[in-house]
This record gives sequence, C-alpha cells and structure tokens, in this order.
Amino acid sequence: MSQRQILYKKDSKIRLKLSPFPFVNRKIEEHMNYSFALLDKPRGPTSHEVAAWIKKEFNIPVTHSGTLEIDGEIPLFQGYY
Amino acid sequence: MQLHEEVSEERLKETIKLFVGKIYQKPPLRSAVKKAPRIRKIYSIDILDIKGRNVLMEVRCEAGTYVRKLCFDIGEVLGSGAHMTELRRTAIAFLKEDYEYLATLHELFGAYRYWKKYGDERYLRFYLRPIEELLFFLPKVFIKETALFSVTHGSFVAVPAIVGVTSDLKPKQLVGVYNLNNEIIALGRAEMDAKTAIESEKGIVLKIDKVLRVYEREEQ
Repeated sequence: MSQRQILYKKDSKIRLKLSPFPFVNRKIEEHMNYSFALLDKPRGPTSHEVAAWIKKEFNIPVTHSGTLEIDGEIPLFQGYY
Repeated sequence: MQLHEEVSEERLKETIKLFVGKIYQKPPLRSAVKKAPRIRKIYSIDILDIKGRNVLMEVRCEAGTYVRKLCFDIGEVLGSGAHMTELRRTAIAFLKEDYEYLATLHELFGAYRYWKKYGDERYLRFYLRPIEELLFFLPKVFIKETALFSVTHGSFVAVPAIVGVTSDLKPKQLVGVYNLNNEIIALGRAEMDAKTAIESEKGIVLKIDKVLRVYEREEQ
C-alpha cells in the first residue's frame, strides 16, 4: 500500500477515535451482523443452500458472494448486504 | 477437465496457450445472463497434473468466466472433445486458500455453538472477519455523527458533513464512508478529490451506492 494519510478539514476540530481495529470493541452480536467468513464449501450442497443453513443456525441475514457450478470456497457475507 | 480422446501433452499445452488472454465466450443455455458472446480475460492457465485423459488445471480468470464452457471450447479446438468434471474456487480478490481464517462448515458451526453454550466468543470472532477487512483498499471519507442518519437514508454526502478524507480520494472512484470509530457505514462514488473535499465550503463529496449500516434518528 502506498502511504496514504488522513486529511482533516481545516475548520473541523473533530478527530477520529482511531483504533486500528475497530471491531474488537464491537459486541459479538453486533459484530456478527457486519462480518464475513471465508468458507471451505464441501462439494455437493450449493452456495445458496450453505448460506441458508448458516442463516438458520445463526438467525441473521446471510448472503454469499458468488456461485460457481461446483464450488470451492466462497466468502459469505453476513449482515445487510 | 476430462478429454474424450487421447491427446499428446505437447498438443494440449499448445492448445491451452491459445486460450490465455482475451477470449470470446458465449454463455451456456442455462445461464443467469444474456446469451450473447462476450469477452473475458484469462490471465493464466497452468497444468498441474495429467493422468490419462484427466487434466488438472489452475485457471486465473476474470469474474464471469464460464470455466465449464472454457473446458468444452478447449476440447473443440483439440478436436477430441472435453468436459469439466470438477471445479473449485481457490482464490477471490486477495483472499486465497491459505487464508488464515478459512473455515469449514463444521468449524464455523462449532465456533457458534461454543459461544452459545459456554459464552466464549473467541472462536467465533476468529472466523467472522469484519467487513472493513475486505475493503481496506478503498479511499475513505469520514463523516460527522450528526450526518449518519441522513447519509444512511439516501442523502448525498456534502462537504459540511465530512470530518476528513484519506489522501487517495479521487473523483469517480468507489469509496467507503466511515463513522468516527473507523467503521464502514456505506459505499459510494466520489465526486471530488481529497484536496477539494477538505478545502471547499460546500459541494457534494460523494453519492451513496449502497448502505451497509443503517442509523436511526436519535431520540429527541
């Protein structure tokens, strides 16, 4: 990554509450809604089926990022995508 | 890929070379997209193993490439015919199979149930990665807390609403909109570069494409 900086507006006194890992402070229930998992999908069930199983177990909205015909790994996006 | 006739390794390699680069593909009959030929880029094809008529290949290709069709087309050019027998996605964007947090279904379910049963969330946090981790390469625009409601309900992000931007912000680019805790709340298209955004008095910095986190109006 090239070195990028955060530029603040001149008149603004507000500064970021910068923690490099914002997610460690999130409660797990909240975190689950804004996270993804990289899943090693077995051969057989479709991506849709796997997403539906996780949705049922975790009781949160789940979607996946892409289907192949017979799939390998797919990132699953949990939460409001 | 399974060939329908014996083909010499040399000829196979020569033929596969023809498929690297930009190729025309006609989506198969049963497909989700319009069935007109389109161009897809194949970055590389490496033969990993050959056993009889079975060929194991690693294909690096553009999104939307039909690999089953690719195998079929290779078979057509060879004259022998061929079809795809198995397919596995080994990488997507910068995520690879050796990704530390790659989980099986059992591991993911196990981690969830362990938390439910014993209240230990460590394993669940290990596999569930924050969405910010996927989008680290996007320029960022940080907005004030008072603007969170309107921005997540469809309003453009204007100069008075922002606190700061990262220096790599450029017009027309996809950018992430962040709150002051460095959490992503939306994705949008930039209308300004970084310098203009922090020096202007007014104007639109970006237009929202997708809201990822909805904020409700604060109680009065």
